[in-house]
Amino acid sequence: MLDLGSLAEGCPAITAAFGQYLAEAGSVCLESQGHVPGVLLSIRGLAPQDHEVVWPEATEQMRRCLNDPEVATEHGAVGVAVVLAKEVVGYSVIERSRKGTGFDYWLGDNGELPFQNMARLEISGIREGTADQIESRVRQKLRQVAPSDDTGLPAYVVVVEFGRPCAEVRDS
Amino acid sequence: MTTANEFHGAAMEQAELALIARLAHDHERADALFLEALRLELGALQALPVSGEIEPTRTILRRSAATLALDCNDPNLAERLVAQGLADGAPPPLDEELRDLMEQVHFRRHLLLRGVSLDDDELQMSLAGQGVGLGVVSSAQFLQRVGDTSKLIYRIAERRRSLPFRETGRRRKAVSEDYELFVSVPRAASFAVTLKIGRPTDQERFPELVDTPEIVDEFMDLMTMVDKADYEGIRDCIPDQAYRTNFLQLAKRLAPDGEDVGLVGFTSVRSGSERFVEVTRPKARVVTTESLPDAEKPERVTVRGTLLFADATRGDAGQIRIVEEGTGTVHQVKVPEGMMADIVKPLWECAVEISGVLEGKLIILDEIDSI
Repeated sequence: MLDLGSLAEGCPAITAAFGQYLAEAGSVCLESQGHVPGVLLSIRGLAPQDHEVVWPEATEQMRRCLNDPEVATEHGAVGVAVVLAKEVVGYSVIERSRKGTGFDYWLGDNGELPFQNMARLEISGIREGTADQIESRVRQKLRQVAPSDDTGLPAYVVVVEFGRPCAEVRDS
Repeated sequence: MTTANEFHGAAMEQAELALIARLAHDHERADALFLEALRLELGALQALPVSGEIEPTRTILRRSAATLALDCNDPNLAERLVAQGLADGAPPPLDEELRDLMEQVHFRRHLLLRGVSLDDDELQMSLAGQGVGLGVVSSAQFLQRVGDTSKLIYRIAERRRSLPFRETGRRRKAVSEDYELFVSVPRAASFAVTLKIGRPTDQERFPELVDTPEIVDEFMDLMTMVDKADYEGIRDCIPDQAYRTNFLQLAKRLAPDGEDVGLVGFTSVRSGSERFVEVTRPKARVVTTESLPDAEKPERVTVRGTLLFADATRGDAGQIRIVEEGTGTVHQVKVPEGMMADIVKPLWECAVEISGVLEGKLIILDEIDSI
């Protein structure tokens, strides 16, 4: 079972406060599609399997705070992907850096320097999309993280779609 | 705190808290937290060893620090960090991400006043994008946006004077004279002009008149909400349906087309500090209709033709007719209150594309644009 509420306990690279925010974003996105806790999230690609997902009930205040649908979808997808990474890839997110309107996340083992010998977790969210739109987003993300030569960085791509709901998990 | 790991971890904690504060609209706290996050991230960069294998760590920290510098409204520092990263041979695909970030830095620089001083009744409007050269832009792109900004300013003034929405006829002479929009000579930034709004001359005798800086502030607030898709905020600010429809339609026309113009920026000055609004949300993603549950969404239609008939005598909603070229098919279109004067009327006798929902034989207009 994937429990978005567990994000509020914090993890190596996410504070409890931000984890709670990510969980709320995930709740708002899932409930906006008419889902209730316990819905099955279909994982495809790496380790395909259905997982039951539960989350804290979204309040009106959460919905007001997350009124930009793109921001809510982006951060909701991060919440789902962070919980999913441990289940599917076997790693917790242990590093992040500021990027765009949020952060990018990295999986691996702690070293002397941040980001050494780590794999990037490239996350994207779709509030409600067709199979073609999901596949197109996966290809786009794989192209973005594709190593162009030997110095390229390993990466996992997770595209979360909240309508079905499902998540495509691939490695580069 | 001595290691890069420690500095970076602390920086990200501050950045997370800053993001939460920004989402809660606590901008003062967000600014302070982002500044602290930037200080710590620069500390992480300084703590890196001077030799040995330090990629991709160095590039990721530089990209992170440059993003934080933009959060702190310091595009010069962001530019230096990105340039250093590229000069030092950032590994792919991080090099491309640094170039993308440099684009954002350039966007932000377009909004800086660069020695131009603004009074509190002035705005700088900046346009940037593929179709905008240094100090050069298509006249249609520029003039339309100046015209729409002017209409928006007048509508804010009329609404704040508690005047009912004016669907037809000229605006009151007093409003036109008090809040007339003046345009400076353009400057290269990529393309920027100062828009100066008139001030009511009888402010002392009639204190109920809306002061011009309040109108500038409300304009900046509303355009921020458009970029963030904060439609609830817009509804709270503009409860009147006709004024709100009018605002959203004009804001959509102001927004970037995503092709020739990628950014429409506005800058104002309050208490000596510059305030920016970067509108990067393309017009196609500015929602002008009130949202309905999926089950209640009616069938949408799109029609292309010439706008050849308009009837604004029906009070709260006018009618227009669109004549399809070639077939001559006539479509009757109902124009919701708030759209006729500022949005539809300027397109008289033009080839247009309209979209809306079917209600019997009528199309209820959502959007109209010249083609």
